[in-house]
Amino acid sequence: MRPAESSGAVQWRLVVPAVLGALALLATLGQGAALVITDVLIMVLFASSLNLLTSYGGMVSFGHAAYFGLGAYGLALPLAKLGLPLWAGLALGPLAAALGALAIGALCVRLTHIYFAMLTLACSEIVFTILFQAYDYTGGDTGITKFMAPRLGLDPRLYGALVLAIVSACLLLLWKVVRSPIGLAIRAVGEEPHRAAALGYSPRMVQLVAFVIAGTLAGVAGTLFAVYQGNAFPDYAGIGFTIDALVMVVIGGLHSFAGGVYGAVIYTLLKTFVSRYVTEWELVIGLILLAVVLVSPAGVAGGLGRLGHALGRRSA
Amino acid sequence: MSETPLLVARNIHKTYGRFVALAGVDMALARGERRALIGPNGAGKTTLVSVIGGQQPGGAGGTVLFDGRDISGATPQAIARLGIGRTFQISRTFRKLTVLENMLAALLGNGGGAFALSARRLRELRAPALAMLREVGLAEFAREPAEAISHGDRKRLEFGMVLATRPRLLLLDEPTAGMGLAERSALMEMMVRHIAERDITLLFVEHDIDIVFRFADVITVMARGKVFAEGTPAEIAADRAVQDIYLGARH
Amino acid sequence: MVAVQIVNGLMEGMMLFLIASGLTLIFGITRIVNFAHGSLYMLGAFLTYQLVSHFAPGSLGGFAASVLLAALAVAALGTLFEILVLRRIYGADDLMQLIITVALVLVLRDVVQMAWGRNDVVVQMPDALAGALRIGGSYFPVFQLAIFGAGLAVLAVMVAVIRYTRAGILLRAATDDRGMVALLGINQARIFTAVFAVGSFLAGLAGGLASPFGNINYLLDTTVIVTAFIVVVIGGLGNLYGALAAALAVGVLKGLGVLYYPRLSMVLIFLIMAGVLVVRSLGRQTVGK
Repeated sequence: MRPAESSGAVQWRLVVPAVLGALALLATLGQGAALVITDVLIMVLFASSLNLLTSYGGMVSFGHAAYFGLGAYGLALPLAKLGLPLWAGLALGPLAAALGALAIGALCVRLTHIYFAMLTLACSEIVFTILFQAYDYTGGDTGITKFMAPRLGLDPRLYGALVLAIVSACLLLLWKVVRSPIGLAIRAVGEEPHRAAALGYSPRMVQLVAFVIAGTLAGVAGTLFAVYQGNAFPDYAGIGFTIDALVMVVIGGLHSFAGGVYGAVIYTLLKTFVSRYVTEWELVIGLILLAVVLVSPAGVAGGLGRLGHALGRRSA
Repeated sequence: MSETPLLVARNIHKTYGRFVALAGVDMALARGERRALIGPNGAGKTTLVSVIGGQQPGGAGGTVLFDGRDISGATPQAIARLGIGRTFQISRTFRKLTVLENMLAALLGNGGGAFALSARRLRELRAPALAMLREVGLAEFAREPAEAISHGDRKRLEFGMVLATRPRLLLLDEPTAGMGLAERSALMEMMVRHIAERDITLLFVEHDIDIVFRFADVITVMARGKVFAEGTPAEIAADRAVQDIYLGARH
Repeated sequence: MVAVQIVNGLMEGMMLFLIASGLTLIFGITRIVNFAHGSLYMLGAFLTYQLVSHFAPGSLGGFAASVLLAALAVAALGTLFEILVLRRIYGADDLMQLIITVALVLVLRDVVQMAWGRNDVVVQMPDALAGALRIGGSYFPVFQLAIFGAGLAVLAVMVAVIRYTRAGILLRAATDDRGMVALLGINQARIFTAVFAVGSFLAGLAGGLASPFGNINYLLDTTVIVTAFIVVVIGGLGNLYGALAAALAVGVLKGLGVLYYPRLSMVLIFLIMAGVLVVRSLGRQTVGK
């Protein structure tokens, strides 16, 4: 397995065609397809933010949706209840997620392995339950709706292009993080915290930084999603969304930057199209997941990497 | 150079439940000294090294002074930043990172800048990292993931990483364990050469008696959580009691 | 009123223990966190619903037989999953082990929907267990008392097995030191399979026993697994007696919470779960991974 993309440079060779391709699809496929593509893009960001924790930081979070949900409610609540302007909501969404991740992360990084997973689960369930139970403020399970026009009232294709721009910028930022000193520290601590500490790193501090970055980006995804739907529901912070993101990361490929991207694309498209024809799309996902874990633990990214390697060798 | 010892351990004790791992250990390391820690399995050697390095969860009883400063109960990272480096019995490297990235991580942890977001710091550290890899004979593997190199090379890598943090005291826990006879000697010679060049004080745990007698200035023999004997290699070799409990069992 | 709620809470607590016992048992020995435990519970409930229709409506014997058969079927499925899938990833990293049980969650959720649809189904309460018993001026549903009894019986059997049988000794050895078991030449794979079978059986049993208690639907899996995690974590992962104490405490807390702070009771329970985890970590102070 060769997890480390050895060069720090952005692989524009891959990025530019991907972004242009997405733009072309948005422009040509019509409004319905634009909605699906936007959904995919938001999930790409959400899964990639979790990927920073799992693939690089060695932290398996079972509560990542909390920050997605905080991103959504950070936008919806001030708009619906305080009548704040839209731009304030757009800023407050990710900010709420960042603060939530800071508070929860400070607790969670004290724990390791399964205990870490359980504590992130407990904390996200606290967020979910508060959103669900405090119906005087959050509307409970009826959520917050009608506080803004879905997609800012834009044509779905235009909103898709906007989301594409924001998600691309966030992924570039994430790439920079991964390839920077703090990224190296996150990977080092994720792999061997004792070795890292004996080299002078403060493992918990490094993990907390990773946790907050991941939470903030999940918050951006949540805010984009709330704008996309024009609503916010407690489920956005629930265990269902967390599991979705984990499944995306594993299918896409652990220990790979692209894992979150591949996983989100495959998962969301399957969910959209398979569920159109058969109701049993979760069964299909479950079987794919089984196959990935048993046959190609490095996921789709790992499989593609091996394929590319083999092809490269043949042509060389 | 001052006359005070670099490291002083006073009355160190540590228990795990009912098991007494260290029952009051006193030890002092002079500056520049090369000290070997020997003794049968379960004597408490690794535990003592971990107490000094701060790796004992829950801490231990007693006092550790490093250069006159009380470091008992400090975190491993604080101790590392003060200038105590260590390797582990089973060498610990970042296995999924490349050899070069391992070395970069070591330089970053020590030199600070670990929280920087700019990749420039990494580019600046590339040359020193490659230089250190050359020193420990690993330059050709720079792009390999650490999990792909041999056991012996990983030991070299871990040693080089610790060296890169510019320690004043180095703790090596069984530096030659799991290696062939010829390899052991070469590895130890390489390590000691670097240690001597940099005036580093050394404390090493070792089972290979030939290595111990060849490279140590002073030997501390531990048994059942206590210091059983201490002296120059010649004194230890002549000590009948030591031969009975330790050397006798081996030869 | 308070006393009634406490008793009700204890009875619900025993139900929680039934759910959690299998999960904590499996974790204690295999170190696998079985996310599919709630799904196995759900399957047990649906299978009971299916089987009970073959007996006279409301017959106690029919209900008991259905629950037992359902639990056995769930145990068989769990065993198969352990042998075919889990066995290949012991020793893999945490995430892989968690995620493979998540795969089972997804598969079972759809299987259940294919077989029984998306609507709620209801299992009829056995006539003999319907009604309420008057104790000290208050009425308690007979069915809940029966569940309480069943929980005690399961506990007694588990304690007896762990204390007094050769299998129990092996189990304890496997929990304390898996290396030692290997040294003794005991087939660890067989222990793991057996434990997974028993754990799955308990999940199915809990689902079956609770089936007349409320509506059964395909969304039961996540609610149940989250509840089970709460109990198992508060009780100490892998600790059977801890799970019992935690289950009863959570049950009572829920009962009282409904009385005083209906909205905050769940938040409070998750706070306790988080608090327990954090406090335990203080004792285990290690370098964070």
